[in-house]
Amino acid sequence: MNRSYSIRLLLVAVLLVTMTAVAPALAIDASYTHVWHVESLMTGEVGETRKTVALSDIELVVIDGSYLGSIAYQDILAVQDLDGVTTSQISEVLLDLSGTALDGGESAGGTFTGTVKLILRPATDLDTGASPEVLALSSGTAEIYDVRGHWGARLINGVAQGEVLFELVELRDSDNTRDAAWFNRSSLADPDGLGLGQTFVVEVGGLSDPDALADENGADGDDAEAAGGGTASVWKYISCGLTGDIGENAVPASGASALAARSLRDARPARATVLPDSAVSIDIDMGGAYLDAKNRAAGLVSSSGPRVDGASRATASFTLARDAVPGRAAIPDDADAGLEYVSRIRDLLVSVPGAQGTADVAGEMSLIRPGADSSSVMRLRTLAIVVESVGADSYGDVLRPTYDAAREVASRVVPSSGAVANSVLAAADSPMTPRSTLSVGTFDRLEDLDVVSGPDGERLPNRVLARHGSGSGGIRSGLAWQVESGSERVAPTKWMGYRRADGAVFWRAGESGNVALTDASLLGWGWSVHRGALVDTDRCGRVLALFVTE
Amino acid sequence: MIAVGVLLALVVVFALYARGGGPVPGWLTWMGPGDGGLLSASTPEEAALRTVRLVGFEHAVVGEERGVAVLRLSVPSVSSPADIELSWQTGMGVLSSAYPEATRYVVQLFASQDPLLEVAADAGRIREAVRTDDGQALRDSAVFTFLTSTGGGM
Repeated sequence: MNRSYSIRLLLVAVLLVTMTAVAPALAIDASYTHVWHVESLMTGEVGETRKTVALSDIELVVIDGSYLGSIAYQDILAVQDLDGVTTSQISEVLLDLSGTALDGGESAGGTFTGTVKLILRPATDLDTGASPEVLALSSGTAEIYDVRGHWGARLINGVAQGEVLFELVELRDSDNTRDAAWFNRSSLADPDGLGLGQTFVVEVGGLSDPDALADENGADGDDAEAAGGGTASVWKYISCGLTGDIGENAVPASGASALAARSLRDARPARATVLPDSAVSIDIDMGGAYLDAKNRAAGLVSSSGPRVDGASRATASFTLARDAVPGRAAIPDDADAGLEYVSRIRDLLVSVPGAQGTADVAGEMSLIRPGADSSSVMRLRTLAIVVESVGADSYGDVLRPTYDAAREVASRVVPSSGAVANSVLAAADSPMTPRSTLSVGTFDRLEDLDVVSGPDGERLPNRVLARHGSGSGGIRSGLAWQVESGSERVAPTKWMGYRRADGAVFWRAGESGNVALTDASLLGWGWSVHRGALVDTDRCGRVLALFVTE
Repeated sequence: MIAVGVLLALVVVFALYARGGGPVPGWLTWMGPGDGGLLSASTPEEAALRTVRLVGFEHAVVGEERGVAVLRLSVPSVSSPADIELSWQTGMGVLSSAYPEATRYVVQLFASQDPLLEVAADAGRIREAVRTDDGQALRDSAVFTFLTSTGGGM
């Protein structure tokens, strides 16, 4: 750890400790504080500043562990240099925050996007330059920046005390890029770094689930230990953010996928080995699209599936093993399917005397009544297959091919720059992603790829609409997806083709549509699913919905 | 001296510009903002999750604590006993690569949200079974535990 990093970490620690110490005394008035660099630098010896905060409005809500928020801030800053020249800057900061609970609900963090609008105009003196009256003037030079970064907050008694760290800023309609550090607070300890995050305080609203948070703290009820770990983690999160190296990147996924991931991670079946506290999961800690993109970038996956060493052997083993399993007699139509599977399972349990948990399975069987519903029957069928597999001899071998593949995954280098590397950043929805890889509108426009909206055709939008399209008169040209407030739908006449520099194709819903479809198939040697992902055209790493096509 | 100072100042300004995300030539991309480790070599957890994606697993959870490495897999579809066996074999192969120092490996299989089966074994035996690609040998030395949502009373 170098000296500047240590100093910075110390500053962060002091800041957070101070925030924690004064927390009970804080009035819970939602506020966002933006300290411009010039305010830190012009302390009287090199000039003066005066500022009027016209708006400081922040909201943060939590719904099922997901955080959504917004920051609306406006100030008027007058700056007078040593020569007496005064300039007035009107700033308008609008940010949208999204994130997840961290550390069992002790903290929260995620990413933000938004805009910062700056209007510069000359002023006669500091008082005039910082007066709200200048808001009514129309003169001056306006600049609008698209901004992105990370935020993190500690949660104390329902109050979030946090920071937003600007990490990438792009001047709209221009290739010029201003240093992101200019939007953060200055750090005298490390003046060439990103600086310090701007701070906010807000009472968290929404539908938090205390039970769920308690579960995340650990089923053993060791709350003190969990809280201690949580504090350390959020410090790590924020301090990593300050260095520009984001250690924990909650990657957005479609709602259904994230929900399934959370269910898998949170399950605590009896007799099962408890997952380590540090366990990470796909679509919560790491987005599946990011993992796939990194595999592609490393040359381990092609459009037809895995290219890794061991893939062909594993594919062959899966095929041979599945073919080697003898078929079982179908359950007669007039039989009670549920009870039939119960009978099979009881017979199969006899063949697995060494297995543990057989009494639990037998107990579950005793609860089955005639006329079980279809989902119960499916569960029983799966259970029968599981018990059969435990009692049988080996069906095949994939140990070595899988080991070889894993070794290759761990050792193959991913390019550190270029179109393919940028596609990994885009898939992770990283704030460091260049706009040319993130915004569909900046990709190469290829009219040859355009698709008339409807189910007729072989291209991705056609295949998606064939299974998921809706519309009147049997014309399935519309596509709907679920959002938190209900559902949204697009029904373009055309899906416009774009190709990104790494070769990925996106079909935009109409000329100015704000969503696009792209292939998100997962092709493996064990299982495959063909599907399209509906993404935000301005942030193509943000998956809004997945649509299985076959 | 002045020229050297000016040159140094220009270098510093350019470095700040590059660090802030400004476009730079390809051979100077190392000066750009950090990628947060997204392009770096994978951690054991990430390598494990990347590998199970190659098999076709949509969701998985992995971690290691005090020498016990655990991989939880959601099996995409269960149509034959081979799907179960090859899933936990896959898990063992992945864990033995990602956590070569572990002393015990545990693979848990789920079907969507339903817990199905846990397979656990001594790491040394698993590494030997991986070396010989002998699923039957691993089967003989592993502990199989049926998992249910309601059972156990623990």
